[in-house]
Amino acid sequence: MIPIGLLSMTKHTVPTDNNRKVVTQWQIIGAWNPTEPLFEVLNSETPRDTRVYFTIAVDLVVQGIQEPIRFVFEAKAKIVTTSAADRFWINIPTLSKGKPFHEQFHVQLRERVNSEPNSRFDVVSCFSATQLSHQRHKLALRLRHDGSQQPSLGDRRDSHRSSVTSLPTPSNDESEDNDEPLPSGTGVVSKECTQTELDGWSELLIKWHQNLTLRPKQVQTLVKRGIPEALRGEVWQLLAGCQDEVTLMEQYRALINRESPYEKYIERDINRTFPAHEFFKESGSLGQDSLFKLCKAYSNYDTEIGYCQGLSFLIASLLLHMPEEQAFCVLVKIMNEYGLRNLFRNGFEELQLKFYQLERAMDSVLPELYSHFADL
Amino acid sequence: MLDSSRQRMAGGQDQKWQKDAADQNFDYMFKILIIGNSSVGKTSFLFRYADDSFTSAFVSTVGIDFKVKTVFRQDKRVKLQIWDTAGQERYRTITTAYYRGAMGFILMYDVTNEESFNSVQDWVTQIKTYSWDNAQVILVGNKCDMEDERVVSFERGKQLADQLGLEFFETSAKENINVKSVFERLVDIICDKMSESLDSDPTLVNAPKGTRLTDNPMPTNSGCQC
Repeated sequence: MIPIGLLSMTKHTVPTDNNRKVVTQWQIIGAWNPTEPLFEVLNSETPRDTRVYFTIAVDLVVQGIQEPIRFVFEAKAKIVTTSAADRFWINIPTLSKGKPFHEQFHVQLRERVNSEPNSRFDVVSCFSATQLSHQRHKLALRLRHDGSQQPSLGDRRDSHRSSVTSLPTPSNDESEDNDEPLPSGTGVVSKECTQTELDGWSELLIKWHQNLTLRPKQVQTLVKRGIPEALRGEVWQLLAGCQDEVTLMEQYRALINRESPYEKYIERDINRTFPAHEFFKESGSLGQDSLFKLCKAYSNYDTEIGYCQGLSFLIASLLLHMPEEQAFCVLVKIMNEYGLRNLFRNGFEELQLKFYQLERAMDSVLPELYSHFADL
Repeated sequence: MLDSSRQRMAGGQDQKWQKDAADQNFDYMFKILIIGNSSVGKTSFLFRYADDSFTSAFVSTVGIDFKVKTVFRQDKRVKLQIWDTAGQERYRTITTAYYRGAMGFILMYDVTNEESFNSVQDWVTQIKTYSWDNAQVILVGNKCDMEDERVVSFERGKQLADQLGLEFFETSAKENINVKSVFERLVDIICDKMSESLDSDPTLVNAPKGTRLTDNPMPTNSGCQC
């Protein structure tokens, strides 16, 4: 390991999606001198002009936490020859220009009782989003190798159940006639995204943040192609119009402290919501805790709907992309402004209506299929 | 809203259509519903029976779902279309729509959950209200492997079943206790009822013809001894 000193750390106060609230961002710049003797080995022994992986570890000392927290990035790198010094330089394209390298970390802290002010929290875990997705992928692979079941249909089925998952590789499943259940939450979300797409999004987001009330024209085209995984949290919030919802977020904090008559029903579903997903699978984990709080807060917020089975999946999908308060805000918007709430009202009256409409539509457009279902 | 994942309507439809010829190969089809409070183990029970698998990582059933299993009884192939329902009370407006035409019900409670047992009477009322009069019902106390957490004794279960005129089993989907017996018994009593009412209404024995998307014959010999 080659230590690199911290060169600078600057504090910025930047507005978030809502204009009135600001968050503090720290920009930390670390730099290294490639002619440093320590790099000699790296420079002479790494294969040239091929892609290698470079691990960067950043130890941050955070106020209130005694031990430094280590954030580990895996970046693609390339050793290139520069004619000037006849030396090889490590170039991490993702960190300099071009595609920005983006990594999200989930740090779980536990508050200590009777502790010193500078060691109030213990670090329980620190995972990067990439690590989490690798683990998910491994889990899915392991499941596929276990037993005699065919690999693909389960995943596809799974991706139907959980809106945040997708099929890793399309494959032929002719021989599959076994309904073996695959745990929900083992699907893999593709993080692949082309440079052009990213450029498009970055341009759009700049424009959007300048005027939050005006939805830029390109939104529709870009969204149709799929929102890159890393941007979903931000884009969903912008789409739902959560920028002016400071009150809602404050309300959330009050709602989670109130008792809800639905608590026991919510509890029953917490272990049954994406039970194989890394973020939700452990009892008492951060994921399950947030899921419970959010379900409870909504049941207190909207007493007519309360908690209804099915909501936990929607909430969990939001929680994979944004913190609780924001997720609450998006949830409220989806329920109220996008009409989802109506489906749950009055004994699913509107849902029944939609079923009826679907049936009638099927009857007139696909009569053969309709009569088949009617026969069942 | 509906969990159509297991209904396999998406994808591979052409293949399914071709497969249909073989699916006509059954003599009777029985529609069976599994009902009961939330998290008593309905989905686990169904998966244990249909796939002989168990996992504690099932998702809660949202709306309704079904599986198909074909069994043999007296040289007849009986295709069971087993519907799994959401237990949360407010879903009843959705699930009761599926009661119509059901020939058998598995009414399940959890022996470690008093509330689920107290709801049995209520579920019976639902069956009476929404289903065909001749529908057969078996009362099932699930999770009988969890002796330490049991709050409803076998005797209380049996007593209630007698009172309601239902057959009774205690089962464990996890330990595979009595799961198959429940289905076999239910098929038997449906068959008995059927032959009883055959004279008065022969349409009850219709094995529907026509192409079917969802059929999934499994060459299972479940050794029904009747």
